[in-house]
Amino acid sequence: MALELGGVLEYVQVLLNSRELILATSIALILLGNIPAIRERVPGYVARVAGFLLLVLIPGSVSPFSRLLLLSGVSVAVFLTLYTPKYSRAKYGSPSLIPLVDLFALSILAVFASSRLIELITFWLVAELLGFFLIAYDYLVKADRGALLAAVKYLLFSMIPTDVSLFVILALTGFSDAVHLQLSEIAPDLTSPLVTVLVLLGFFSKAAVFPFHFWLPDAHSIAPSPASALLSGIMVKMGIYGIYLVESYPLSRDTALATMFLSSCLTAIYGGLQASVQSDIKKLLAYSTMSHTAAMALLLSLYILSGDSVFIDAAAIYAVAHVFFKSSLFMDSGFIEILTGERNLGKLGYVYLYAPAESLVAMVSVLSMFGMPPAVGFLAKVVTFVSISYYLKYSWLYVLALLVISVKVALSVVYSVKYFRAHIEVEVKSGSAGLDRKAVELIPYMAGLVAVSIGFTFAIGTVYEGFYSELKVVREVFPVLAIALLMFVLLAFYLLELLRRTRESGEG
Amino acid sequence: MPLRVLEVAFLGVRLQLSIASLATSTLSTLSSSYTLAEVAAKLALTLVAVTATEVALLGYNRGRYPLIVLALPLLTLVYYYSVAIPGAVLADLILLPVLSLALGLCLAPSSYLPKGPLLPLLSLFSAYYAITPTKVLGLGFDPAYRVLWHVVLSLALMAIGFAGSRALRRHSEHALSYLSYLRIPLSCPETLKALLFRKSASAIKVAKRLTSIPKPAESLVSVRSLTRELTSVSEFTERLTSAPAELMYVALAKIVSFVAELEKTLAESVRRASLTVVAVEDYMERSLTYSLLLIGFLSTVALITYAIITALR
Repeated sequence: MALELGGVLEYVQVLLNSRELILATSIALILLGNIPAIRERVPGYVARVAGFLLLVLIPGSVSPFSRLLLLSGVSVAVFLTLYTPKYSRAKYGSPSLIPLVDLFALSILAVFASSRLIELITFWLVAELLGFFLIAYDYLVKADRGALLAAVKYLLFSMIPTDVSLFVILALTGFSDAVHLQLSEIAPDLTSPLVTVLVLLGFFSKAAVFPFHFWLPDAHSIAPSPASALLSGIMVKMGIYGIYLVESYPLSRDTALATMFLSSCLTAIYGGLQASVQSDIKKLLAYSTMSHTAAMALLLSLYILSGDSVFIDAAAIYAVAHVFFKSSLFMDSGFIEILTGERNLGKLGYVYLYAPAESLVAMVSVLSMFGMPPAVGFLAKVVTFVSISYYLKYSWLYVLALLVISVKVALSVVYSVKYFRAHIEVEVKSGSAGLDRKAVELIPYMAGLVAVSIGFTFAIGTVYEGFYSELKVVREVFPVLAIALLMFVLLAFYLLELLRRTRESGEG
Repeated sequence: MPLRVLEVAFLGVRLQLSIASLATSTLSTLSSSYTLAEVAAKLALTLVAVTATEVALLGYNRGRYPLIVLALPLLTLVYYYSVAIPGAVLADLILLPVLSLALGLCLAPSSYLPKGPLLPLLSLFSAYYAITPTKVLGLGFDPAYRVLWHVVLSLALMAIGFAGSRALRRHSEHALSYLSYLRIPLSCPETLKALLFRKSASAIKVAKRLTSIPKPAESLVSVRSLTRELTSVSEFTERLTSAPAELMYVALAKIVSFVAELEKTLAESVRRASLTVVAVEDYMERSLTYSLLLIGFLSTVALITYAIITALR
């Protein structure tokens, strides 16, 4: 009997180690959860959530970078699969958005879970195609020509350049190696400056870094909010991940450094400035994504300059922080759109009157963007500044990078304040006419994502401890994070009590 | 009432950041950790960013908001480039007071909380305490003495920052008032003349004229407060008859006028640059789209031609 049990356990272990099996089960569960009869019922929700959570078990990720992106992406996907049905019903009157969003999330996560080049390219192409349909979704259901134009722009300036890069890498790797070797084992020769620039530009276009940055604001602002959360929160990280992979292959380092440094500096400032002058909440968030991804690309360019993996760590943690706060802010923009039917900042400012709890959740995301502990944005900013400041004495390029990041942070204060004014303005505007109170049902999912982002700050330490014992920052800030978390929990309880009393006095 | 919730939220966030930065700085001094010192500095900079948001959203002295946003990159650069250097260096004699003054102006208690001085003072102290660990780490004392020196140094810097910001508060607020005054479409020379020659009657006349001008929505000060401001300024300047004070106000008025001009020019340049960038982007986008479509079309035609020729052969 004991022998049989041991055999069964061994078999289960073999099954759990099988990437293909886990991936297939995950896809099956997500498809099962999307069967029309159950997709808006508990069994449907459970199947989809289980399908996404299963992806965490996939063994053999290429690097801590992809592992972190996979884990944070799964967290966002879980909350989005719960958020989308209510959003879709409220905005389009049907749940047709759910399968598209789920499959889009799944394909992006599969890119981060890929261990071979052929897998990566396959899932990448599927994700891009689904992204195209999501951007064009309003054209499909409401014949909005603006959505079609944005999708075509995305096709031409994001999909095509990235596909060119991927196929160049595939051609230089060889089909056999792409199928049999791990991503970390292949070594396509990118040493020709022209090939380096060509491949990098492809991934820049996915990450919306200059010169192929202009597709992003339209695409991310026109897509439905759950799709925007995925596009801005996770999909642009595919570009950053591509740059990270390229850096591990033989390439023309000087050309790569010059191209990446210049492009990312320009985009970081340009994106921040544009975000500061937008009046549409989703466009503001879209431009801010440009600024943030450029900062990640800047950190990756400093890795080329220094050869120190601390810049890779900084970019990875920054990417994770961005996944969380940007996804939750796009979900919040969807909430505002459903509640008020308005996206113009000039006409908003009264959301807190009807949904104070959501205003608080949005405030936590906005503060996380500044790097407030215990949110993961804090770790990102700390690692970024610590890594750059250590190298300041070696080259003026580090000083310039610090200047760019500092200005970007100052601009992020400006556009964050502007965004938050959609929730609250001192001069109270009345906008109660035509409010859709169904939007309130969306609040728990955004609050859940924000709570997970705080929990992730501690998880990231555990994940990183396993990979990099020399990354002292995460270990050293642990007591600080513990104090901050304790105070944060106390503050949250107090605020909730205050909100409860406010509601009670309002009802009274 | 929800506004009160936000007030409490910001209060809590500031308290959280202050305590976290105090704890981190103390841990840094005790354990001689430079990494923790930089983490503490990041917390202090976050505190400044949060204060900017609070000032902008809750409306206490909103004029200070752009000042804080502009100071933030400067604070970051000065901290990381020079002050983060361990031990005392000559540059500290200049940079530490500059940093203290900038922090004092950004976190001045009057700028964001009208009631209760305890928490603002705690925030201010924690910010100074968070930027100074690196200065005591190189001294080689025992940990307990290091903490003592750390506290003394922070208190000294806080005194400089607090006193400096109080001394400059009147001037910075006047500067902000003048700046907003000059933004109002009134003939600049007349305003300046009134200010420069310190004639209270003409200052009041100018201020009265303002009442007939519709107030721009984005104006930072109300007409009433301007009138009060101008009256108080002119009364103040009449009392001060000494030449240095007069010179100072002349210089201040000239600087303000220059800044207003600069601001106007800058805004215009940014607007033009932005329009140019958008036009170039549109052009680039259009030409790339057409090129790609043309390449696609030509490739398709070439393939069809090739297929036909092959078939005919």
